[in-house]
Amino acid sequence: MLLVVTYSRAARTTLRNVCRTHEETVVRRFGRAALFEDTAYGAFLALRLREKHPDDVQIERTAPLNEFADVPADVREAAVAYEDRDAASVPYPKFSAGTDHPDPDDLRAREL
Amino acid sequence: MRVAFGGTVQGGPVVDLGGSDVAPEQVVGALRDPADDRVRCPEPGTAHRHVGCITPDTALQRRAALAAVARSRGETAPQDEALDAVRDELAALSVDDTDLTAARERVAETAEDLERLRERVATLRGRGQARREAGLDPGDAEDALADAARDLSEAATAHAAAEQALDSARDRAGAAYDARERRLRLQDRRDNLRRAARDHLAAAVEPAVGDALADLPVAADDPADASAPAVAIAAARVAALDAPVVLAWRPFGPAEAAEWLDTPVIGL
Repeated sequence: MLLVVTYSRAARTTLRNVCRTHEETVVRRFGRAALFEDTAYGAFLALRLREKHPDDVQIERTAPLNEFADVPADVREAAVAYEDRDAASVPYPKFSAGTDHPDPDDLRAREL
Repeated sequence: MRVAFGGTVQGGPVVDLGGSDVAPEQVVGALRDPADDRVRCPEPGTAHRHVGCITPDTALQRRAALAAVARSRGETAPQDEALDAVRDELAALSVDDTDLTAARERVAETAEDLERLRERVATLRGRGQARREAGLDPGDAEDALADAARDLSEAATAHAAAEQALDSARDRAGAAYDARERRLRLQDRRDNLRRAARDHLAAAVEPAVGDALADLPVAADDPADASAPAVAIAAARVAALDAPVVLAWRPFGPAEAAEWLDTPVIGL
């Protein structure tokens, strides 16, 4: 999908108007940002926005995340285990220390 | 004041242009233009912009007008300090460009070159091998392959450089987006403060304007029902205006209006 983020009032207003008139291409709206469908029409709308407000429109291409295909098992398991912890106040670095769960620096260093 | 319109020159606190074919817009235009000699008077302020020209068609932005009237009387709003601070911050904020078109285009172009050359190298390699297997002299194929391989290596370098350039341009754009996001938040905050200040100021003079309305010879029963010109003239009475009011709406004549408003009047 195409993530379109606006950074000025004029661009935000244009995005709002585009979203109103092209509901079928807009997957989701968030304030001054929106997700457009990953179609040529979605790209057409996004590029028109950027053409109109060159410095105030950011366009990124996003993809849905399938954690079973894209995320290593130990990362998934760490997330489950941490959210299931007994003491809510334990920060993750402390939680992972001395266990098989990856430590935060290790997580940061690994790319998906 | 001194008014030179409709072929005559008039002075004093009341000027009557009734019967001439001068339009109120012309008079108020001359009044607000310091370079226009046809109306000489003290400089009009913000309140004058809202209530300084009253015609039967006057369209009044009521809250903004009342807020300007309040300011003319020296009223302040509790938001003023925060508003100044936000305005200063906005003025000091500088935002850089975020346009990465050229860098993106370069990455796409170099990727295309790379792909084309990869295919060429594969083709040439296949052709040379086929000739060798057929017991033929590879001939020029070897040289062509060496050339293509060199081009491919150059294209790979160019593509890597383009990707690196785009990466660092994206980092810079990220900082610029941060600044732009901050500017947007400040603008929204400024507008909210401005609205709140306007409401506060308008409320401060609302009772006085209501009293003035009730005192008008054409008063409506309910101030909320009052016509725009009636509210405008009542607000003009409450305002501290230096410049004359241009009056093309006549619940009363210019002289009476000047007395009622306690302000010079140009009647039409």
